[in-house]
Amino acid sequence: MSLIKLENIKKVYEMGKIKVHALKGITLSINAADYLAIMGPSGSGKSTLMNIIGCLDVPSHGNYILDGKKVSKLGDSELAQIRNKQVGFVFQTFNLLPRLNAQKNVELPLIYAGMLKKEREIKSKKLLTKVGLGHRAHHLPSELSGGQRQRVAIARALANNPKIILADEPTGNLDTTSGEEIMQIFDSLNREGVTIILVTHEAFIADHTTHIIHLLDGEIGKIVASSK
Amino acid sequence: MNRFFEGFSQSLANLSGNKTRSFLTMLGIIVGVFAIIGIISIGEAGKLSIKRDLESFGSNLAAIWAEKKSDTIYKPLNKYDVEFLKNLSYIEELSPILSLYRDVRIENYKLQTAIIGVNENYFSLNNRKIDKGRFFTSFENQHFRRVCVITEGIKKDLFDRNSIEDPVGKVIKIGDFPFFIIGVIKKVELKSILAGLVREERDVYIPENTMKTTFGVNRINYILFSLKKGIKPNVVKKTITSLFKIRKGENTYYGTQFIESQIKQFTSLMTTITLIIALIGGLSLLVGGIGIMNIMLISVTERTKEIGIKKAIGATEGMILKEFLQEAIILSLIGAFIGTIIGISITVLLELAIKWQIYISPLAIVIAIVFSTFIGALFGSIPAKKASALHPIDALRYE
Ligand SMILES: Nc1ncnc2c1ncn2[C@@H]1O[C@H](COP(=O)(O)OP(=O)(O)OP(=O)(O)O)[C@@H](O)[C@H]1O
Ligand SMILES: [Mg+2]
Repeated sequence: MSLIKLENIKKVYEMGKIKVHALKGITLSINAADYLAIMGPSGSGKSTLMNIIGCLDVPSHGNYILDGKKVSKLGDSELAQIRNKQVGFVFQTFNLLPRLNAQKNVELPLIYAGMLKKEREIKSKKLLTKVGLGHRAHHLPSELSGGQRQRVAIARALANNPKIILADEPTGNLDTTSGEEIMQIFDSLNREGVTIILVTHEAFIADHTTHIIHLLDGEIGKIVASSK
Repeated sequence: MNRFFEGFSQSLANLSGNKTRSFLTMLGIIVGVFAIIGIISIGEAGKLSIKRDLESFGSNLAAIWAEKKSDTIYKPLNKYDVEFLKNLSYIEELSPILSLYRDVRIENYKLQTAIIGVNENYFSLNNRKIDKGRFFTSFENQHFRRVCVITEGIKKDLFDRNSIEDPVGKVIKIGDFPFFIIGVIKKVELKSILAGLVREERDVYIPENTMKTTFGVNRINYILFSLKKGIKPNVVKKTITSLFKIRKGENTYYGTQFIESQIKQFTSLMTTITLIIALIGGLSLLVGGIGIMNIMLISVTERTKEIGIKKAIGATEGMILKEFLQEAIILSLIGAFIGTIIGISITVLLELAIKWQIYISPLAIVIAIVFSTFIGALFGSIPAKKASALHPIDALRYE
């Protein structure tokens, strides 16, 4: 059974009289431990699709079944729980909380999961060490480089051991070397069995994955095996 | 509990991120709490001081006098009425009060003043203390002795001012009659605002019987009496009023006044006034609440992105709601705390300055703190609701 199942997903944004059809019927199955890239021109609906998969947004039409559960049937607290435990989001602009240090940022999803302070400290330290930032735990985001910030964000996404990591242009704001470091982390996570879906404009980033989904104007153009 | 403190320190961190703004937000609450504590405490302190002053006259004291109303005739009190009252079981002591104005003279100096005829019980009834010499005795009253006790005012104006030393033992002339001064009464020491209202006494007290024989005054102004311990004034009031109607006739009227009920009436009036003013002070708490709401609404807008991030990593609506609500409550609690400290210090200083009793109303502190917490929660709930209802992706995209 597939982990993520999208059936004829449509997303329409209504802006006054104008309707923007961001997604025009996406049907897609993703299995556990898949490693996918989504590519496509700007405005083709990549972020919209990611947000729906990550339960940050809801489709206008169609069925989304995540891990056997119909997402449209879920309420706020269940959706929040999915975002907290099952899915880890990594953003192009990192989205760390500027007033919290690296460790506190990583602890946040653990707080929402109800973990106690002691355990939280141990866990967040471990996660930071895993992304190579054990020595930067008490730095504020503004005291870290872009690559380091993204690694903190990844540690945060991993906090509650999610099955899925969704990364929307995770290397978009990074130089090639830092981007490469981030991809190494994703590679090794995928080897551990984490399902990874990432959006990218760069072929050499997409090459880390096994399959590339090409989006064109809100529709899936083709799915190809990457040249890895 | 642990979790509560974590949330607490989280809120504190958020609030201290912008100290000036947090302080300004709290200002309304600070002023409100300060006003409530100050007003109630000073009101209570004033009440206590005045009550204590009134009680210093003797808390079981009462008076009865003849009065003319439109439908009654005036029948003055006489010595038989005095005898009658004296024999009532619930009356402890009494003294009739007679008075007239006369010149009081010593050497070449004179002063016109009130001459008051009382019996020997008057001084203990009224809680008066002797400064020099002694009060007159029952014997002196019964035998029409021309002795008198003067007040401090007379001593000052007639003796001290004219460098005549020690009035006790001297003879003064009241009208045309020589009186032997046997004592000087101590001034009444009032601590409350009553002190300002009471003029300095310039009276001369003489035995009532001497008053009758020497000056031919028979009209009793009023009879002062004290009730035995534990006797309720309102019961006595009814009984005495009806007894006098029987004695003196249905068409007469006798007024009475009981200090204890006066004190009660007075204190309840003071309490009402204090509470009304405190309520007005409390209104500024409401204004403070609106201030908190405004700033928190701005804060929600400013922190939209943060809210989006938090929702994206698993915060539920309830968690966001709680976070903002907590911040509002902590803001008002800190405001209440600062207001309490300022309120207590200024109240104590004020009470010291006007030499009242130092009194801080603990009830006012409790009311102020509970009320401001409530205000914080009430007005904080609107921005908190707004924050929690934000759509995660809209919030995330907000710049
Ligand atoms: N909140 C919104 N309101 C209205 N239109 C929207 C909204 N979000 C996205 N869109 C529209 O939906 C379409 C898809 O947007 P989306 O952000 O998914 O594109 P994308 O593939 O991620 O582009 P990019 O590569 O530039 O990030 C675009 O035409 C965009 O203008
Ligand atoms: Mg995008």
